[in-house]
Amino acid sequence: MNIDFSFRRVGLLLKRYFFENLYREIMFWCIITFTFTVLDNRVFVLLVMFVSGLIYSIRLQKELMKGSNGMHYFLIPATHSEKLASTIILNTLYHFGMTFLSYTIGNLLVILTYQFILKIPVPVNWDLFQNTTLVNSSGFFQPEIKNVFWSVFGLFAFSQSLFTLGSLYFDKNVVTKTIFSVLGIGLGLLLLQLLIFKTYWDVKYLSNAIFPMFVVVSDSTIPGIFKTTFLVGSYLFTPFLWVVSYYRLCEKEV
Amino acid sequence: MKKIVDISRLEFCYKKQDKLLTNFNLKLYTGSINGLLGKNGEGKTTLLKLISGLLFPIKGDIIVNGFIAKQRNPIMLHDVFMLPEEIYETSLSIKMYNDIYIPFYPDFSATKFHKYLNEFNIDIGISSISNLSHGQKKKFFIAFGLATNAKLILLDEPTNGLDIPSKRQFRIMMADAINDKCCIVISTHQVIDLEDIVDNVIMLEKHEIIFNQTKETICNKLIFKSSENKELNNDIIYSELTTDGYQQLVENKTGEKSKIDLELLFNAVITDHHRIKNLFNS
Repeated sequence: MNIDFSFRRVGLLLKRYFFENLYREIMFWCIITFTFTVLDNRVFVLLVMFVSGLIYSIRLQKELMKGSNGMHYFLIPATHSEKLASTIILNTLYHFGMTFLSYTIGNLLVILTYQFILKIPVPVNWDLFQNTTLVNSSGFFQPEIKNVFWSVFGLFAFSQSLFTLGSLYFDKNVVTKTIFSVLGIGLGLLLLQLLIFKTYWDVKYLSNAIFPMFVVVSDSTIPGIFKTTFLVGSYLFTPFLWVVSYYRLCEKEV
Repeated sequence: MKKIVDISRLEFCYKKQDKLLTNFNLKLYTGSINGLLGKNGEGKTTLLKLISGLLFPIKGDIIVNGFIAKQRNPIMLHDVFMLPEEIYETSLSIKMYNDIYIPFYPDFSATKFHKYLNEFNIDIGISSISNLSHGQKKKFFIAFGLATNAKLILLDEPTNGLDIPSKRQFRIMMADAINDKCCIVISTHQVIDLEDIVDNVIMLEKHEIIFNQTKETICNKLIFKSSENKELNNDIIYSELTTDGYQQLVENKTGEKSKIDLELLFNAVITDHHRIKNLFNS
C-alpha cells in the first residue's frame, strides 16, 4: 500500500458512501425531482440547491465523523486528502450535478406530460444558468443573456466548502455557528478593507457585500493590481477553505 | 517478538478535564495477547483510541509499527484493527461490506474470514448487517478484524453481548489468530473470558499502569488457591470471601503452579499494589 494520493481509494470511499446510502439517496433525489416538477422557478431551484447542499454537507460530516461511525471512518486505511477529496466530490460535484439532473428530469417530465397526455406544447425551460440583464445600447435597453453556470457553481462550491469547514470545526449547531462566524469574519475583513481603501485612495464607492472577496471594487482610484488581486483571491478562496478543512480533518479526534 | 506499540511519556486529557494519563509508558510486542484491565473511567478505551490514532496525546509519543499514531498513516491503519465497544452501524450486506472494505486491507484472508464466520454461525448471505443482533454484529466485526491479518488488533469489550458458546468460540479464535506477527489487546471487565488466553496482564488504576506482567511471571510469583477457612499467614497477599469459601493469593515460594484467577489478581492489585509491585520487583 502506498501513501500517495490514490484515486482508487477515493473511488472506494465513494462506493462506500453510495452503497451505504443508496435508498436514502434515491428517496432524496426523487423528492427533489418531484418538487422541481411543481416549482421550476430558477431562484427556487437555486435556493433548494444551496439549502439542501448545506444540509447534505453537514449531515455527511456528522455521519462520517462522530461516534462509532466516526471511529470506523477514521480507521479506514486511506489518507486524509483522499477522505477530504471524496467528501468534496460528494457534497460539491455530485450534489450540484444531481440537482441539475433532477431539475432537468423534473422539467422533462412536465413537458412530456403536457405534450403526450394533454397535447399542449410547452417550451423546454433551460434557463437555470441563464441570467438576463438589461443593457443600455445606444440609448436603448436591450436584454442580454449571460451564462452564469460557472458563477453559480463557484458560489455553490464556496458555500459547501464553508459548511464543510464549519462542520469540521463545530460539533453542535453547525449552521448557526458557521453563519455567525462567516458574518463576523467577513464583517471584520470588510471593515479592514474599507479602512485601507479609505486611507490610501480615499475610495468613495464599494458595492454592497458582506464578504470582502465578493465586493466589487468599482472605484477607479484603486490601482488595477488590487482589483486583480481581489478577483484572483475570490477564485482561490474555495481551495483555501479546502486546505484549511484538510488540516482540520488531520487534527480531528473522535 | 517485535515491538509494535511504543508509548513514552504520554500525557492526555479530554477538553476541560483533569489529566487522564500522565507520564504513561507502555510497550507491546507481537506474538502476545494482552489483557487490559481497570475500573470504569481509568482510561482503557482512551488508551485504545490513542494507540489507534483516534485521539491525540498532549505530550509524549505513540509509535505504532514505526508510525506516529496520530498521523493516521494508511500503512499504519491497514495494520491496525480496532473494534470499539459501540460498534459501527451499517446497512450493507456482508458481501457488499467485503467488496468495499477488503481492498483497503491488502493482507485480508477470505479463507480465514469464512472460517471465522462459520465458527460463529453467521450466515454470509444475510441481506443487511443491521439485521444482525448486537452480539452477531460483534462476531462479524471480530471475524473481519482477524481476517485482515492486521498486526495490531485492539478489542474493546469484545465479549459484551456474546452468548455463552460464542464466548468460548471467541477464546478459541483468539488463540488461533495469535502469531509472531500479531499483537492483540483486549480491554474487558469480563476477566473470565481472558484467563485462558492472555499472555500479558496490564492493569490501570488512577490513570496509570500499576501492573504489567506476563502470565508466566505471575504464575512464578503467585499461587491462586481456595480455602474453606481464612488462614493467617504472612505469605497470603490477598484473601476474599466468595460463595466457595476464601480465595487467596499467596506468594509462590515453592514453585507450585496454579491457574490464574484474574478477578482475584485484579482485586489484590487494586487493594495493595505496592506489595505486589515489590514482590514482582524482587
